[in-house]
Amino acid sequence: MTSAGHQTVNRDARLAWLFASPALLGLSCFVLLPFVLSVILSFTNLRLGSPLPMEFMGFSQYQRIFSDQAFLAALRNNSLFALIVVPLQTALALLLALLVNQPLRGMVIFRSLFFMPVVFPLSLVAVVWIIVFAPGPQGLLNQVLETITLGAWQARDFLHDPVWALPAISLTSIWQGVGFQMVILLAALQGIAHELYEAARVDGANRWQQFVCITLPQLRNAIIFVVLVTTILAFRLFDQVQIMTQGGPNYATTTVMYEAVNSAFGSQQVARAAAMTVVFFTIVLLITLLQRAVARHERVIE
Amino acid sequence: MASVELRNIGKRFDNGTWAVKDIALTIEDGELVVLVGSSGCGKSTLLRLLAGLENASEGEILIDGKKVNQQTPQQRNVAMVFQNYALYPHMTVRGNLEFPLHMSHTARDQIKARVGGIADMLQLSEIMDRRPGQLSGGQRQRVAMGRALVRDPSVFLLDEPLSNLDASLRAQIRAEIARIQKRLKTTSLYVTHDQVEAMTLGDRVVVLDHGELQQIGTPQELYHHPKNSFVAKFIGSPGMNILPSELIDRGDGRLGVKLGGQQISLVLERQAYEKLVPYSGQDVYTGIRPEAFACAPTQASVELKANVEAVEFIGHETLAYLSLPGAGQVHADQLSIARLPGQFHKPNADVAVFYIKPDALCFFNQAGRNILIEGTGEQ
Amino acid sequence: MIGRLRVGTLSVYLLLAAFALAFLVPVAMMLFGSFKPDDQVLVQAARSGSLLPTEFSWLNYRDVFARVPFTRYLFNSAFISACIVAGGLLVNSLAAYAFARLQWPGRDWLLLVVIALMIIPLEAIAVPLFYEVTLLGWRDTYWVQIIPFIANAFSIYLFYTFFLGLPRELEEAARIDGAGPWRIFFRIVAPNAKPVFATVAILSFLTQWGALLWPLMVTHSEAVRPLPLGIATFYSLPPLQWGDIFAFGVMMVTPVLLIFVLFQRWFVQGVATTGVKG
Repeated sequence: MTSAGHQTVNRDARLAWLFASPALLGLSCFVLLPFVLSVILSFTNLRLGSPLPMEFMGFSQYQRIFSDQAFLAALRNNSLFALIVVPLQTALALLLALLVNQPLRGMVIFRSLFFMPVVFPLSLVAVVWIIVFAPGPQGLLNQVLETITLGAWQARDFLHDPVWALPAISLTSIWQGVGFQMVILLAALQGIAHELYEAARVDGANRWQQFVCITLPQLRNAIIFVVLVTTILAFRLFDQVQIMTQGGPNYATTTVMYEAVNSAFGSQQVARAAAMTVVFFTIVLLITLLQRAVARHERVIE
Repeated sequence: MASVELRNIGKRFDNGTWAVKDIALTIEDGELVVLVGSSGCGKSTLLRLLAGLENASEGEILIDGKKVNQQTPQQRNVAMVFQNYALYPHMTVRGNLEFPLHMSHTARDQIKARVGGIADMLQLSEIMDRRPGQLSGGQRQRVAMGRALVRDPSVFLLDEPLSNLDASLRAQIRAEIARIQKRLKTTSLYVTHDQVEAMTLGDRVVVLDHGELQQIGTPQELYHHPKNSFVAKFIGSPGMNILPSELIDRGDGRLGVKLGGQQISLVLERQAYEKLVPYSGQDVYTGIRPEAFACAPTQASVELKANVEAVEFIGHETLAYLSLPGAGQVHADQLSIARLPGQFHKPNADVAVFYIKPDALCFFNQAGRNILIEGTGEQ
Repeated sequence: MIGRLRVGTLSVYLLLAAFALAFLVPVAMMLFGSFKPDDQVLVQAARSGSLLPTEFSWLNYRDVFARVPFTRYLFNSAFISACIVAGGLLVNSLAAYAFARLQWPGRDWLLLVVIALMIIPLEAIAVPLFYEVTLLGWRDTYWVQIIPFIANAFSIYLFYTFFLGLPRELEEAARIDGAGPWRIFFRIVAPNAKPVFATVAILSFLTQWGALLWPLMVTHSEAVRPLPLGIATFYSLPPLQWGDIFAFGVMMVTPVLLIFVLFQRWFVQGVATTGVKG
């Protein structure tokens, strides 16, 4: 490169650092640094308030948490939660998107209605749904179920029942989150060229076939995105657990993040908490990479 | 007002290919030079090098005698009309015209005066408060020109300004550009792929192909004395027909050229003869302009028989698509084209007789260079 | 054909209405419950139709203000969110512009790092970050809730993809017109990037308005706590009076709902575009 070229790069470089440094500084200090610290801490035995000095302990924190009943329960719960919520929420979002996409009057109202819970803070949602799940005949859900099953339903205390607690939280999350995914799928739906459907109709495809052969494939990337985001959010589950069940009963609803926060603040075991969050990050990273691989595979085919 | 000089300019891409190489060009103060060539020949790159939007890998750029390689576009006092106009969509016409003056911290009343003057000159006064999105293509083009001219730049750069306009508008605005440039006498470099624009607008024309200079000259020079077969084929609508042929020595100081099954005898001046004689007995390319074909003999013309494959009646003239007998099978895109006045009918036997003046012929060697002007004059 | 269409339309509306009901009921319960005297809130949630209050009273609302500094919480949430959004729009867009349009050494791999950082959610770094801010002495302030969140990898990415898609010619024309890089950014690029600014503002506002974990960790005085924390503490504050809690919830969500209703199109568009890129 000539000197003219070099001059430009130098000029640009100064400017670029000027433009980018606030953000890069912020990211380094408040995201990268804590993350690196997390990873380092996870190899120690740091416990605040303990008279023992901090020392490196290799992977022993990881060994400990993986043999800890609470953490294992948390992993199991997060996975279960993801397994329940992701398919249900995605399917529901797709259904709602398909419905709202019909060329009928008033669809905008429905769309807003379904999206509205997204705007509610999770903490508020949690509090409100506590009433819905209230035990005894006063609880809203109990009453609804009683009415539907014509009296065959036994009132339950959902949030304190080891079997029903996690599904209850799942329902809450789905209620709050489905609008977000619906909007994404709706936008993707509206992006499908009409000509594809017209060509299919000329080729003799009925509505179900059109759905399977055109709609679903065209939505593939949007669905993958929705599944990814929902799964990641599922592993981040914290707010509802904190407010509604506090991890119980009997670890039935504890989550990785809930355990981590408790370790850090409850028992001051910072290293332990760090190990948990590193495990958490690894899981999320793997899922993201998986999604990118699947999506790229799709693009290659196209 | 300034002169522009490009010395040995070259620009290399990151992958190693050269966008332009060894470009030497001088634009005199007040001159309008047209840079012409097909897509990808490097003409836009040259323009952007001059503007400072790209950096030259080698060579020097001088504006008014001063080397500007290191200067940013902001510093160079050049103005540019982009192919897609690049009008600021969020500003009105007035805002677009005022913007360059704001950037150079011109006084308020001066801005008003200049913008008003430009608006009058380009007939924009009616649309000053509209946004680019509300304007027609022709209006947008004029606003783009106005924005470029409002600063009274040293050099005026135009990047295919007419290519996005309807055909009917093009001629009109072409004339307007010529008029404005003559009036303001701004040194201008105009880039286009359309050789008609090049021929009609340029004081001089620069032909580029694959990043290399082919020829610089006035439109007349390019038309009558193309340096190589590329220029010969590019200039003219349609361009010169280039036919494979063989130079024959007829003995006693005369040369002939064999085209397919026919031979044409050439009457040449001393100089031309000296240049051609070394090629006798060899294959050369003969160039015949479509306009050189006549249906009736004239003084000094010779006969040329041709198969008429197709005719296209345009109105004031007919295009005849010809192949030469004895030249073998030719593809549709290898047919020669003749422009004949009035209406010309396809003859019954498909073979017609035409008359050519031998001194209108051009001859090109195997490297494509025009034999008759090889070694004469500058690039 | 017509008959089938009517049946089809009818079933669509029925389905939609059914779902709408499921979505509305909890909200309605909260709304109506907030107007009922406490002893009737739970009991009457029972029989259908008695969701509606028999006695209408503003008592709960008054209680909320009496028991907790609601206006303070509201102000805190608004202030914190506004700072994060405003700061983020400026800082992240500038960085994204540098990545998208400027040439500088290390740009490409730094971009990869930023993209990788997108995955790291707050929860993964909350604990070390907590100790970091403790060291800095930022505990229990507004700033601890604002500054760490201004720079955001996802926002940078959204801006970056958008800027890449803007036609270069506008900036080139501005350079030729004599505009320096700052002017180009603020007067040419930003005004033509309104959609992405709206999207980033909305997404970041939605995230910050509902933040619970971080404020919970780093604050303990009500002077700086935001609304979500307010309702969580309110909930754990004896005596447990649902009417009050509902009133709190209604007031908490009304500003956001109002903004949502007003700017609906932007909200939906903003969310939709994230998916299209993903």
